[in-house]
Amino acid sequence: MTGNTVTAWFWRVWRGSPGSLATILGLSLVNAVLVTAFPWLWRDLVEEMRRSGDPVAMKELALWMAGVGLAQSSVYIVLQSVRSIMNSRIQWRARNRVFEHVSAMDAEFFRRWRTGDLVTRLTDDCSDKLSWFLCSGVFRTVEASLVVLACIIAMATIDWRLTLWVVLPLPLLIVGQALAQGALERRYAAVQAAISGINDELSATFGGIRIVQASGLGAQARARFVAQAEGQRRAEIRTALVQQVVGLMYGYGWQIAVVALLIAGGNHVIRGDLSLGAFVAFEGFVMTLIWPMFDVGMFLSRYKQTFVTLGRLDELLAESTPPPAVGSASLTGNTLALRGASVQTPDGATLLHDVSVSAAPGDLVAVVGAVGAGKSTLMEVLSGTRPAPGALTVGGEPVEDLDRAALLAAVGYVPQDPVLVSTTLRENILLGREVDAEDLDRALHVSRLEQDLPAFPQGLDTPVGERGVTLSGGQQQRVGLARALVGQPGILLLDDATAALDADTEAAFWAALDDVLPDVTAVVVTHRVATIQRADRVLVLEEGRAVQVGSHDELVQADGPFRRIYGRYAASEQVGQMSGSWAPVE
Amino acid sequence: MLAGVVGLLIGTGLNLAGPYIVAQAIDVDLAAGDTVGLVRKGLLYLALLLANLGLTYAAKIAIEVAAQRAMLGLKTELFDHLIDHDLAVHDQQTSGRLITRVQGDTEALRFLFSEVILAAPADLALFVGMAVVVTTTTPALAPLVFAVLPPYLLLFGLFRLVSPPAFIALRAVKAKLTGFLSEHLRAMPVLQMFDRVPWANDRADTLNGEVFRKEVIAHLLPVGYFNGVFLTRSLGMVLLLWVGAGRVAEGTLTVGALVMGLGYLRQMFNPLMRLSHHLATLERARAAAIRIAGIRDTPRTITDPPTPVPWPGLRDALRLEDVRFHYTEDTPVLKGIDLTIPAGSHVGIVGATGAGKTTVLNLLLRFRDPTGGRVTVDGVDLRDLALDALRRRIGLVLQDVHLFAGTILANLGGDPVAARAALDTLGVELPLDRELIDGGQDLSRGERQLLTFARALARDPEILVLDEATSAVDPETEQLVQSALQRLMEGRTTVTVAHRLATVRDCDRIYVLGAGAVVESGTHAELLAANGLYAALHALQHGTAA
Repeated sequence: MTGNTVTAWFWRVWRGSPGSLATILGLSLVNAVLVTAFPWLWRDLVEEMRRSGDPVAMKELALWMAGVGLAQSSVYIVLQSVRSIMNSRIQWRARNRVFEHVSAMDAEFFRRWRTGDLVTRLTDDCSDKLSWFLCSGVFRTVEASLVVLACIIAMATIDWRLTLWVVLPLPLLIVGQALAQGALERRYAAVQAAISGINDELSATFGGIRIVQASGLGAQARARFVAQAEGQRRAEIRTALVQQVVGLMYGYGWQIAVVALLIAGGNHVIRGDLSLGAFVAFEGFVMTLIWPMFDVGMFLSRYKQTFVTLGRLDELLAESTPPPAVGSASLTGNTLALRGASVQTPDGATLLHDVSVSAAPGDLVAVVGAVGAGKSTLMEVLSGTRPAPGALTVGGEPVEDLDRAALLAAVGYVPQDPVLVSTTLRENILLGREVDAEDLDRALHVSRLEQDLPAFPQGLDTPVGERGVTLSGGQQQRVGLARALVGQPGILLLDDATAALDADTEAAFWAALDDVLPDVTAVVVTHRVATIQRADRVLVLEEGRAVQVGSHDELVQADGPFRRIYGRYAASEQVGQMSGSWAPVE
Repeated sequence: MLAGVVGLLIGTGLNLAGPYIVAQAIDVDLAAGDTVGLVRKGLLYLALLLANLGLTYAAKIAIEVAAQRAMLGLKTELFDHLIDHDLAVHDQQTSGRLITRVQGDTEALRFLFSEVILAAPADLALFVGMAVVVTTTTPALAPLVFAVLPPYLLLFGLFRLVSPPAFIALRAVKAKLTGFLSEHLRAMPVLQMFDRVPWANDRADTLNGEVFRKEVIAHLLPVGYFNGVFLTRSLGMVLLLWVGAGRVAEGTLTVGALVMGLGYLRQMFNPLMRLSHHLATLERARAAAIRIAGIRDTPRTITDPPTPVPWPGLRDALRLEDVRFHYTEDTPVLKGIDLTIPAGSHVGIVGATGAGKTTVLNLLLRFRDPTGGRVTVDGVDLRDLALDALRRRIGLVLQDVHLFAGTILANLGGDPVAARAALDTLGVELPLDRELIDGGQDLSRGERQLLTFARALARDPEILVLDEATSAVDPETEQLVQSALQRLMEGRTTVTVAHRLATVRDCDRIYVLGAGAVVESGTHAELLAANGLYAALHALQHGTAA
C-alpha cells in the first residue's frame, strides 16, 4: 500500500462531490472561529462584572454568547451531518463500483474467488472502515486541528508566555496517548487471537461431539478449553491495564493543564499583568482545545489500519475484467459446431482435449460420462461462458465474430443448480426481462412449472425464499427451465438440469418442447435412460476426451465405456424405485 | 470487587473537589494576592488529581479482574453443560451458535459488570455530589444548574424512542444487502449468460441506496441528539452567566463561585451522556442472559436412569425390537425395524442415502432414544443402563476423522499404557507425546485414520460401531487400513454402517435398509442371489456388464 493509492482513492471519492468538500472545509473553519469566540466573550463578561457591573452591557454580552452558542451548534450539526451523509455515500459508491467490477468478471474469476470472501469485501470492507479514513476520520482531524490552532492563536493574543506554559505539556499528552493507543491495539490483537483460538477449539469439540461423548474425551476437551479460556482472560486483563490508562488520560488528563493554568496564570493575575477575565477565558480555551487534540492523536494511531481495508479492495479491483466482446456479425442460424476444442485450467490441468461435436436445429444431443469427465466444461464452452478460441461456430460463424447480445439471446442455458435468488417466482424467471404474457405462459407450459402454480399461494408472485429454499429440487429446476425458455431460445443447453424431475414430468417436458420449439438445437447432459434413448446422438466423455459418439442403439451394441455408464444409470434408476429414496449415481 | 466500588466512589469524590478548589483560589488567593496560597491550592489540586487517577485505575483493574474471573467460571459451566448434553441440542443448534453462547454472550454479560453495574453508581454519585456541593456552597446557583435537566431529559427520552427502531431498520436492510450480494454473486455466471448483468447492477444500486437512506437516518439521529445536548449545555451556561453576572455585580456572588458553577455544569453532562450507553449495554446483556439461560435450562433428556442396571455383558445379542424413530411426527425415519446383532458377529447395515442407517448408529450409542420400541443388550433396555457403562463398552469410528489439538496420547483418551498398546497392535509408530497440529493435518490420511482406530481400541470395547470408517484412499493405504481394521475387529461384536458395499461384503449378516424399513437381509452371496435392492446397489457401485 503506497501513498499513491491512498491519494487515488481520496481523489476518486471527492472529485465527484466538490460541493460537499467545500462545505465541510468551510464549516470547519467557521466552527473553529465560533468555538474560540465563546471564551473570548466570557472574558469580556468577567471584565464587565468586575469593572462597572453595567446590567445592560452584561445582558448584551450574555445574549451574544447565547447567539454564538446557537450559531456554533447549528454550524456543527450541519458539518457533522454532511460528514455522516458523505460517509454513507462513499460506502454506497464504493460498493456499487466493486459490485459492477465483479459482475463483469468471467466464470474463471468466480471459480477462483469464494462468494463468502467477495461478500466480506463488499460489506465489511466497504463499510465505515473505508469511509472513516476517506471522510470522517480525515475531516474530523482537519476540524480538530483548526480548533486547536484557533485556540492557540486566541490565547497567544492575550498572553503568549502563559500560552506556552499551558500548551507545552499538551503535546506530551498527545504523544503519550498515541503510544498507549498503539500498545492497546497490539494487546487487543492478542485478545482477538485468543478468541479465535477458542472458537476453533470449540468448533472442533462441538463438531466432533459424537466422538467426544462416545470416546470419553470430555475431560481432555475441558482441560484444553479451560487452558485457552484462561489465556483469553490473561490477554483481556493485559489489555485492560493499558485501556484504562488511555481512558483516564482522555477523561482526566486535561486537568494537568488546569493545574498549570491555576499556578502560572494565577501568578500573572497577582502580579497584575493578566486580568481575571483573561485568566477565566484561558480556562475556557484549554477546555475547548483538549478534546480536539485527542482526536488528532486518535487519527495518528488508527489511520494505518485503513491501509488493510484499501489493500483488500484494491486487490479485488486489480483483477482485470475480460476484454469486451467486439463481434458484430448477426446470427444467421442455430447450428452448433465445435471442432477440436481443448480447455485447460490456469494451472495446466486438462479439462477438455480435442472434443468435437455438432448439433443442427431439431437435434437432441445427449452427453454422458462420469464425474470429472468434462461434461459441465463442455456445456460452458458451448454456451460461450468458457472460451475455447476458434473452436466453436454458431450458424457457421465463429462465435467470437458474433454480436454478443444476439448470441446470448439465442442461447437458453440451464446449469445443474439453477441458482435462484430471494424474490418472486416471476422475477426469478424473467430476471427483469420484459416479455409478452403469451411467451411467459408458453415457458411455464413447456417447463411444466404450470403444474405447480395452483399450489403457490400468490401464484407467480410468491416469494421463493433465500436461494429458493421453499421450492423442491424439481420445482427449482422447472424455474431454471422456464427462465431459459421464456426467451424463445434457438439453442437449448441443459447441464443435468432435469435430474430432480420425475420420469413422467421429464417425458412431458420433452413432448411439450417438441410441440412448441420443434426446431430448437438441444444439447443435454443427462443421467436418464429415457432421455438417452430419445437423443439423436450420444456423446461419451472420459477424462475430457470424446471417446464414443452414436445413437443409443448403436452404442449399446458397441464395446466401450458407454455400456458401463449406461448400466450404472439404469441400476441407479432401479435402486431409486426399489428403495423409495434417492440414490446418488457416483 | 467491593474494594473496586469503594475506590471508584472515592475517586468520584476527589473529582468533585476540582471546580471547588479553582473557585476558592480565584475568590481567596487571587483577591488577596496570596501567591503561596495559590501555589498550595494548585498543588492540592494536582495531588487530588493524581490520587483520583491512581484510585480509579486500581479500582477499575480490580473490577476487571473480578469480572473476568466470574466470566471464566460461567464459560466453564456452560462448556460442561454442553459437552454432556443431548446430541439433539448439538444437531439443532449449529456449532457456530453454541460458540456464540459460550463466547459472545458471556462477553456481553461481562460488559454489564465492568461498565454498567459499577460505572453507573459512580456516575450517579458524581451527579448527586455535584448537586450537593452546588446547593450547599452557593444555593443561589442550584436552580440554574438544574434548569438544564428537563430539556436534557426530554432530548434523551426522544432519542431513546426513535433511535433503536432506526438502528434495527438499518441492521435489517444491511442483512438484506448481504443476502442479496451472496445470492447474486453466486448467480453471476447465470446472469451473464442471460445478459442480465445491468439488471443485477440496478438492483444492487437500489438496495445500496436503501442502505444509504437507512444509514443516514440512523446516524443523523445521534448527531441531532448530541448536538441538542451540547446546545442545551451552552444555553444553560449562558443562562447561568446571565443571572450570575448580575449577582456578581450586585456583590451577592463571587466570580470564583460563578466559575465553579460553570465547571459543574460542564461536567454534569458527562455522566448523563453515558446513560444512553449504559442502557444499551444493559439491554444487550439482558438478551445475552436470556439466551444463556435458554441453554442452561434445557434439561438433558438422555440421562442415567435413577437406579441403573449393571452392564449385563454381551453374551447373547444386541437387538433393535420394533424400533420407530422420528424427528417430526409426520416424517418417520425408522418405521418399526427389527435387527439382531449376535454376540461376536460382524453385522453390516447398508442402504441408500436417507434410508436410516445413521439413525440406527445413533440409537446404539444412545445419542438418541427411540420414539417407539426398544434397543436391548441381552434383553436389558439401553435406557436402564448408566450412559457411561454403555458407552465405555462401545468403540465408535466415524467417517470424518475428528482429531483434536493436543498430544496423540490425549486424543487416545489419556491412558499411556492402553494408548501405546493400541498403537502397537495396529502397527503405528507415532510417539504418544507428539502434538497434533490443526486437527492432525500434519499426518498422512492413513495415519489419521489409524489413530481413530487406536482411539476406539484403547478402550478395549466389547462392541465396535463403524460408520463408513474406511473411505476411499489410495490402494496402498487402503491395504494398511484394512489390515488394521481386521485386528481392530478381532473378537469383537461389530456393527458396520456403510454406503460402500465393499466395506460389508465379509459380514456375517447384512441388513439392507430402504426408506426406514429392513428391505432384506442375509450374507453377501445370499443377497446377490436374491436379486433385490442389494443386488441393484451392487450393480450400481461396481458397474454392470449385465
